[in-house]
Amino acid sequence: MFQPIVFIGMIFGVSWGMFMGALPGFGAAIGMALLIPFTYGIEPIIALPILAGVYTGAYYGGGITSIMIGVPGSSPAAATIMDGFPMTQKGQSQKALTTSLISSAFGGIFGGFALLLLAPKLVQIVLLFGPAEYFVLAVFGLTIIASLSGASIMKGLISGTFGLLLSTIGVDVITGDSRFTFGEIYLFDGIPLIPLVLALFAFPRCLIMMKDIFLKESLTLSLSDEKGRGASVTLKEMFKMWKTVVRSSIIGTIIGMIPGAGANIACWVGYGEAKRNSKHPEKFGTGIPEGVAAAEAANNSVAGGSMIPLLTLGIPGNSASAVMLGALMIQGLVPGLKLFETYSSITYTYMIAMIFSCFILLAIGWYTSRIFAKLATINFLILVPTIVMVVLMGSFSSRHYVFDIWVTLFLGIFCYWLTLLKYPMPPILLGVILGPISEKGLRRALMISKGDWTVFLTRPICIIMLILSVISVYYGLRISRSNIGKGMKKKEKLKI
Amino acid sequence: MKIKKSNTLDKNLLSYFVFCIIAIFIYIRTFDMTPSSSMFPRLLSIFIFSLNAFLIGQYFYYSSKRNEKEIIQNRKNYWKNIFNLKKYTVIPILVFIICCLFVFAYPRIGFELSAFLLVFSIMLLINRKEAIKKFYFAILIPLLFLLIFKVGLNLAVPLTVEIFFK
Repeated sequence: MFQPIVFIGMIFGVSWGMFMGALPGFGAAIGMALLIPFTYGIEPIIALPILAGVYTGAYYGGGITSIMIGVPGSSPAAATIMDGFPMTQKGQSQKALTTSLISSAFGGIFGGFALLLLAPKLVQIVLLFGPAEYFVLAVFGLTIIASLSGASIMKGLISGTFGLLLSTIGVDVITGDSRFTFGEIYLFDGIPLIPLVLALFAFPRCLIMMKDIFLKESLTLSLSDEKGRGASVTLKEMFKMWKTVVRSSIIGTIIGMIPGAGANIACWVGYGEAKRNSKHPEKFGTGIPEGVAAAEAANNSVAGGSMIPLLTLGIPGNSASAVMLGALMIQGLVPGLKLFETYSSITYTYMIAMIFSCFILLAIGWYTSRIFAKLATINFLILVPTIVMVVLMGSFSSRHYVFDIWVTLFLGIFCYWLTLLKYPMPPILLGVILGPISEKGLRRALMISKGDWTVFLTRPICIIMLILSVISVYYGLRISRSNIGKGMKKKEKLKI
Repeated sequence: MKIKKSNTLDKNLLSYFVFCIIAIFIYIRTFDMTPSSSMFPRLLSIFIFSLNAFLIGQYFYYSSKRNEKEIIQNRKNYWKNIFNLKKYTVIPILVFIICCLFVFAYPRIGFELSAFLLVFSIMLLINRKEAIKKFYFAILIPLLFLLIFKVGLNLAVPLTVEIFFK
């Protein structure tokens, strides 16, 4: 961990994350997806801290553009606009940026410590798991992320099942049967993960950017007119907000631990709770540092929280941790007990890197936030072809097969279409990753029980997880219905 | 606004049919496998088919409740909506085609030339005047990537220089 190369990697990771977070529409998931091909050949002890840096940097980076431009770099930074942008308009951008930075770093450190303390304890649960539990765990993971990651649970479930179907491509490890390979030797090992991640997250983003350029008819975002920068936040001012920052960090960590919830929800809950507990709630939204601190501490603490179910059970909390799960699998690391025993040095390095990257973020962010705000206004004329190049060459870099670029392109255009129709992408990735685990679990459990399907209803952990799956589907259906209801009401209003 | 909403529904309907076709295709393919290998994909194909069949049914159920005028307008616009060839719809498809051409050309004419053509054509698509003014980026970006992939990651990249001047 304390090798200079690891720190250099983390500095690069944080900077890349800040840049990706600051670019509207990008964020942590795409930032990591674009970097995975480059970290593939690097040792996991260096590669994972780089990705930890990206994760931390991206959450803060989203806040920079929220404050400076009034456009959230990524959706977790949406609540930061409420007070961050009015502060810039009042000529207090420096105070907003530094408040955001300190709160983000505190939230990240808090989440990192929660991960370090809770993950090794929670992983013991895995000891109780047999094949039946692994199958039900995969079902649970998929239903919960499907129900919470999009507007419609049905689309989430379709995405997840489509991901599971993709995971069946390749040679069956139990019988040696070749499944859906169409005679292509390149598909014998299944769909390669790096091209898949790029096809799900990065390539559709490039195409959406192209579409947006023509809709908005603008090649760049512009920085708002500032009435001066103002002073940085003082320690005294920061200390006055300690309750808000700690409360938001706790909220963010807990929400991060709930699979599927993530930073998009945490930032609003943190902001809402800060407003509810404030002595002057009417000032929220007018440009006060407390509003910025609440939103930023909550969204950054999600990073650590979401890693707890990921590293212990293999269930990602949000799309960024789903990509992180992909990165772990690419490095040959399977979440669970083995990660904490056989690969403990790598795992603990990663967890400590999550904390250290917050200190690096503090140092880099203090001096360079404005530079990243300017970088976010980079001309799309240069940005789009550059990212297209990363996607194409990144898919090629993992196995040196041109076939992998074709996989990215064709799967990418299909996923672009699905993205336009609001199908969530994280369940597809999760389906591909959980597919082999769930299939093996299902087949082994049925083999042990001699084909008796009630095996999944007789074991206590299975029953608990199945009940939770049903609850998550019910909850997802209620969300979908309320969305439909809102749509219907809007339609009725329009008719009137 | 009304038409825009029904457009989305129609496009969704197409996606449900696409998933149904995928499910049927997979179900049929599983007959070539041993029973043990085919069980999981077969279960998944049945599940994905059921979900989409339900959504198709739901779509027609709700459409029967809509007024007739709206249904007729939807039918008229159905194919027009799906292949809505506005400029912003065509551009991503053009980018996809350019990318396909790059992959096709890349092993044949080498990285530098194919990457230059890829970057420059995307720049032209975004803004013709600006692209011509800043054409040097179309040279610099591929060179930067060449440096990263060839020198940094030691990737077996076919070079134009090697192909044409060997």
